[in-house]
Amino acid sequence: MRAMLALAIGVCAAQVGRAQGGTALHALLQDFTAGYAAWAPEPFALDLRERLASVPPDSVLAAQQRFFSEQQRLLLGAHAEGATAEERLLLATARFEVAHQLHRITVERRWLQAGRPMPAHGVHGLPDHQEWYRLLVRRFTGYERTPQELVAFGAAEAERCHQAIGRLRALLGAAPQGGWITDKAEVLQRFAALDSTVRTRLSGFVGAVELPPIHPMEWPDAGPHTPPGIYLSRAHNAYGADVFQFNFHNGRFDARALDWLYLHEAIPGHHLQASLRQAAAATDLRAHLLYPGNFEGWACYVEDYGQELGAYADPLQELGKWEWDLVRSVRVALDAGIHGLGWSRQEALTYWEEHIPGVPELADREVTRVTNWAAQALSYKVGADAIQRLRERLAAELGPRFDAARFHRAFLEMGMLPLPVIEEQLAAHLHKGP
Amino acid sequence: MRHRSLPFLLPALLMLLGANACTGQQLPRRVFLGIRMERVTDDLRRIMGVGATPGVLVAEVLPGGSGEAAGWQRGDLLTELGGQPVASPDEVLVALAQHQSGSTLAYRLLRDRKPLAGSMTLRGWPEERYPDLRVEYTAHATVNGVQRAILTRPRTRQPDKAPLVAFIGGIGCYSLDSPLDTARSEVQLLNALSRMGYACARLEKPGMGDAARSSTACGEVSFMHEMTGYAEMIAQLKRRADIDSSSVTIIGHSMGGVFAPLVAQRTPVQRIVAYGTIGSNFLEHLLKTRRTIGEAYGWDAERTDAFIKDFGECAAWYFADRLSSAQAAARKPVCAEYAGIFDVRARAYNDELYALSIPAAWKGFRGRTLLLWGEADYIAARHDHELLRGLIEAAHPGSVTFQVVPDADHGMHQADDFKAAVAGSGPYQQLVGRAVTEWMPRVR
Repeated sequence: MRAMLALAIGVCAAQVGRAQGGTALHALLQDFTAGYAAWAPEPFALDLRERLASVPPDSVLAAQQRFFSEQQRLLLGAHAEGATAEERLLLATARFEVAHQLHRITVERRWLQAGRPMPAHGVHGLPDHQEWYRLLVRRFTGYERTPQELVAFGAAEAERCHQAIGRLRALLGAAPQGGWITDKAEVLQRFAALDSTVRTRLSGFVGAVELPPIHPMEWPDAGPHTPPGIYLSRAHNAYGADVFQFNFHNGRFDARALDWLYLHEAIPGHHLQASLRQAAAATDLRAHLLYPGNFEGWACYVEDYGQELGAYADPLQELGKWEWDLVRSVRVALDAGIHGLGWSRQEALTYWEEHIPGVPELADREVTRVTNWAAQALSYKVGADAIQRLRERLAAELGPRFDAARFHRAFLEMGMLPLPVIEEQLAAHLHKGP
Repeated sequence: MRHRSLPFLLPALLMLLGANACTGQQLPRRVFLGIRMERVTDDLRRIMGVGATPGVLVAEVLPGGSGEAAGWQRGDLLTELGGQPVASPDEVLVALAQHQSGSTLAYRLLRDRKPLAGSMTLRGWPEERYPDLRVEYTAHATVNGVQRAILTRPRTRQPDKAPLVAFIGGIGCYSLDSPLDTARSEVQLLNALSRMGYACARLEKPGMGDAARSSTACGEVSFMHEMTGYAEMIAQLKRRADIDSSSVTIIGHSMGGVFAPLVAQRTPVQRIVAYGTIGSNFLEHLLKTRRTIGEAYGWDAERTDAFIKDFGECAAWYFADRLSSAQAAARKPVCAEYAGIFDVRARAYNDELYALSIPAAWKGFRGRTLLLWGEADYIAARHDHELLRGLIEAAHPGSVTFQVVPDADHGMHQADDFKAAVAGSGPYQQLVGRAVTEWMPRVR
């Protein structure tokens, strides 16, 4: 009913002019957001088989299809003249999302008709594997990428990491390259020192910003498979403070992971991102959308700018960054290989061994992770690469008018939306000038 | 004649009433505090500024719980419950164990570092609810005290008498009553059967779930007493007017599959499904599964071999020489690492299990049997299932089916292989349920 009303107003507004166009669009977007929230489509699941198991019955999918088809008609017919930049962003997002959801529903309905097959070794075991992988790649990165493109991208990134690692190893010479910090107080003290360094330089990176404190803490009950770290904003913990947890399993912390982990989880990574996102409107469509390519891409992208922020003063810290980047790069190729091209477990292990030799236990863990969490591992590298390319494109287009801090700020304030939408809107925003 | 028979009928009637009273036992739901707790680490003390105050962090307040009713909030530091200081999640559970739903309990906590005191009325655990299934919490007087079963059956289109499926779980001391996590394998498997028309009873272990205070503690009960308890529960369920006592199936999961043919000696059972069970003497079973454990953990042959040798010595001292796990560890320190396996149950339980002839138990079962083993189950041995299939087939030709379920681990979850099962459990593997439902007779 409200959608019909919005449509009526939209038609009317298109006839009478700019100011009302914005109002009609506002109502349309509100309607879409309310409907979207009510359907809560596509619950977030990392595990492929959990993701498949959560597919609702066909009657629900059919009703969702009716909703999104109708919304697509309205959104494609909506006029953006006179709309605010905010409304244009949300309209582009809604159009992106509605197309994605309709694709999802088609793929899921076909899967139900096929008798809910559960693949043993990833997406490639599904009858409709090409469409499933396309869907998951878009969900996790925001982009359409073929498996061949992804394998090539992962291999090229791995090569870039190897070159950086070689350069740093030569620079470090015979100096001991790594080790563990076993005194937790030392880990905390070094994070605190880095925190104050980064904060003094942050305005050059993202403009003036008031950031609440970020507290590092040991990841409670971490095990051998626990990742290096995790960010938990106060909205996602019971501590009344923003924290990031680091892996201190067996009473030790990888000394080379200090700087990149801080940049990624804290500032200017997830902590800055979450703080600026909270500042932006959390009541519109953005409250319901979390695109991993955006937030993991950003946290990964900023690791490349550690020097600007006073990190990597010790080359060992930069070495640690590239070593972890290498793992992330190889994961991209593994993901596309296993899910998109049907690599066997052995083929995946062989690929790993060719690129990161000598750590079979890590290989085993990573191949299992990538097999279980289809497309998730793509979000870091594909996202970071897209943000970097956008930066380069805008720097070339704007010449001396390009301001990296303004670019970063505008990116973060747009929220964790699909990257293709951000690209288009951010370019328009920066071209318009301050 | 008619008059004379009355005095003889009366005792029988009374017995029947008595039996009904047994199945109609009252067993209240256990206390539902309804919070997710988190241990307060040194880091958290520093971040939250709570100093050295002992307590437990309220990490989440669940809907419908006692905590929610008392107005507890996420981030509260619970310091005292029922007059007892609580410094760990375990201590909270201990403090709670002495109380039942409906009773009032005082508490103290820190909220935003300020002390707060109050009292709460304890609520019972929520019940499982489904739009299409009726869930009944039954209680049964058994040799172990009062035990609980959770009975599910369709709400609609019920026949007068539904065939019974009784589920018996594995060796560990755990509860099958989990209204907050109905995605777990046992619940999914049985609900699928209930939707086909079966009345499905999850038989709780003594001392677990709602029966924590009404029956012998799980860690103290002997093997034969646990088995007898299950047999008594099934016998009582069969006496219900809405159960077809001529169609009873036991699904035995892991050790539950060892109990199943023994239970069938006490009360007639028509079918047994055993998933991931044991088919050889417990000691042999433990040894041969050490090899698949080594494989699952990716150990090389030498390491696995050394592990089996060590484990074999410790296990032989424990089971054959009847040393305690501590005495075995005194002989060989590595035995301390395996104490958790031996001491999960009581000495009497392990002694009776070790003495048991599993082949003899199965030879005596004259019904139909489905043996299932998950391809990623490194905790049970495929070989044990093949042994059972062979001996049952020899004793009762045509009565047994053995089937390998692809991509299923010991807990009936999805997992590609042993290593994937070690790395973490996926969701319930529906192929387990499919194997069972395709084998079970269709219910009209």
